[in-house]
Amino acid sequence: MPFGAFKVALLGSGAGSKTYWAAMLQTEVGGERHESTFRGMDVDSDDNVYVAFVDGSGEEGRIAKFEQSDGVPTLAASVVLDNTVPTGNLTLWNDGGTEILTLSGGRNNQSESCYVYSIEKDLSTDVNGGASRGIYINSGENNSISHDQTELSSTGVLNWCSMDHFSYFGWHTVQAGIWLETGWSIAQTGSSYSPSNGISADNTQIGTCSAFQWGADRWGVAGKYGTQPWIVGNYNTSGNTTTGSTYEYSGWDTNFSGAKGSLVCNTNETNDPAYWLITNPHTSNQSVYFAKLPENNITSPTWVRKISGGSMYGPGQTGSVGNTTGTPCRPIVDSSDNIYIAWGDRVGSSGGNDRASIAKYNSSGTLQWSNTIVINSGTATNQFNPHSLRLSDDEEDLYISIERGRPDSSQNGSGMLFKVPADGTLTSSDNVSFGGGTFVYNTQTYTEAAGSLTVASNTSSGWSTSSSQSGATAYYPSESSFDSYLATAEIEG
Amino acid sequence: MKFIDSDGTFPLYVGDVTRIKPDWQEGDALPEGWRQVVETPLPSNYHEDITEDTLNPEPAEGYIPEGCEGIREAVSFISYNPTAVYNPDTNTWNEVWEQDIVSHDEPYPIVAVMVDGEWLTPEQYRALG
Repeated sequence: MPFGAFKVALLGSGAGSKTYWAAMLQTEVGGERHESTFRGMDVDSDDNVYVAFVDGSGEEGRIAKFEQSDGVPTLAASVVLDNTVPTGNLTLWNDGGTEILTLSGGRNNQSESCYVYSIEKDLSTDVNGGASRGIYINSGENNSISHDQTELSSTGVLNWCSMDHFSYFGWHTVQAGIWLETGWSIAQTGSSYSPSNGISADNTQIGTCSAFQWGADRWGVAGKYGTQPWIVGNYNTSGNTTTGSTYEYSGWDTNFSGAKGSLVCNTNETNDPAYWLITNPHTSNQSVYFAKLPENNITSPTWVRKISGGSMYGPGQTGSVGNTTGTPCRPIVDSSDNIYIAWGDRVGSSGGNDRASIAKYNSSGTLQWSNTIVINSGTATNQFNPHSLRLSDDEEDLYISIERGRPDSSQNGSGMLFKVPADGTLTSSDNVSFGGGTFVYNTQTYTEAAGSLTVASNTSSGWSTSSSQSGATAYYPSESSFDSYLATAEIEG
Repeated sequence: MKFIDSDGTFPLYVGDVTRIKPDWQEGDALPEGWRQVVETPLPSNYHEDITEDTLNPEPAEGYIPEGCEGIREAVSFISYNPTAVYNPDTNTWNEVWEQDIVSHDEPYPIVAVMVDGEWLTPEQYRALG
């Protein structure tokens, strides 16, 4: 695919003549330009970037591979996958000596299972004979792909989650559990590993899910319950080789409403702390909370920070992931125990410009920097919400996939990808031309201070161990290619 | 552990202490003007729902079926906010939980439905097939 087959805006150059950029990509099928929504994303050791995304229907999965050998991204390969393949999480991992891509996530509207699909980095060589294996979800008539942030470890353990809706009384359930590498089937198959699965009670209040592993012995799901952020899962003392016991924790501060969270654990630190990002759109307390929770004493935070001000409006409410029941972007941790977080909001009001905020903290809870990407011509129909964060191998570059932006309001929305320096530099108040509009990547001085968060043990969601899931029949998704839409043949910016 | 600083900011946590005094350990002197607060457990009715019943609710497609005899909605719940209160008799700061009745977001969660005159939980309702 020739250079320029999608829109690229250059932000500038950094140390070692590295180039930083923004990119957006739409596909063209049958001569018609299609909306795209970027979701899972990862970066390999050669700085190739892989993005999983969906088309305008929100269900048909695609993967694009971007090379940047000349310092700017070019579309190197692409594949269309049918709509049983999840796109919520894309993880590059070493499968017995071969580096492959694995897509995972909750079941979608076209599927009965949470499928896991792997493909080699060329996006044309099948893994597992092209089979997508899955876990059958035995509840709910409807479901949503907005709730499928999974976590895949370097050893092939997948923490999965899914959310199902019922067609009456607004009830839904969240389910989660563990998958193993062995053939991507339920772990009892060919393995001594005996994982646990869990399910919430049917209710209206639980929502959103982002699966995580917390230390060796605890797995779970971060999301929301009613007005509050919630964590549920199972705990045991034998490395998740037994079902163990269930647990629930909630977070609370005055004026929480629609608050929800996402969580990542850092096993490099003592007590395997988790970092809990919470977005709270309550009109009297528009804010983002960020807490460090020790695994061995979860109700006693090590610290809690609160970010507010800066004309923050509706944090966590933009986008299909960040909508009122969606899941915030999962934080990431670098080798020096710094944590990167990201969230979406609008500037000042519901009709304000779309904004993605990115912040870096150290493990002591000291803010290192906070920057924002603001689409100047954004409208409320955009979904400018960060979905995935990744660092390059040298940890100098931070990649952010944004679900959808629409700088030119006459055009369809497009997934966006940003590469910025991980040290927070290269900010500017200058407008950058992009996609028929402009954006600004600049520092943002939020009010950042100690926050209050009551973390309490709970049983409200009725989280319980479940055996209602079973291994799904292997599915073989169809693959085809797509044409990227040639929005412009030139680099902008 | 929870702390209050000289400005009255509460709660602060151990990480807030070590941000100022990185080597601080329990038993060491706190930063100037800081005090440790004696913690108290959350009241047992924390997060308890307050419900309202509606008999013969208006049907809503995909939400409330035709002929539904009744719904029980959680309109609010009991929460508590932490405060620190100084006790001059003991010269200690103590954590006090102030009750806060918090409204659920609308539409209110339906926590039970009536079938044949009996209130059923969601699980009991689903078990009817």
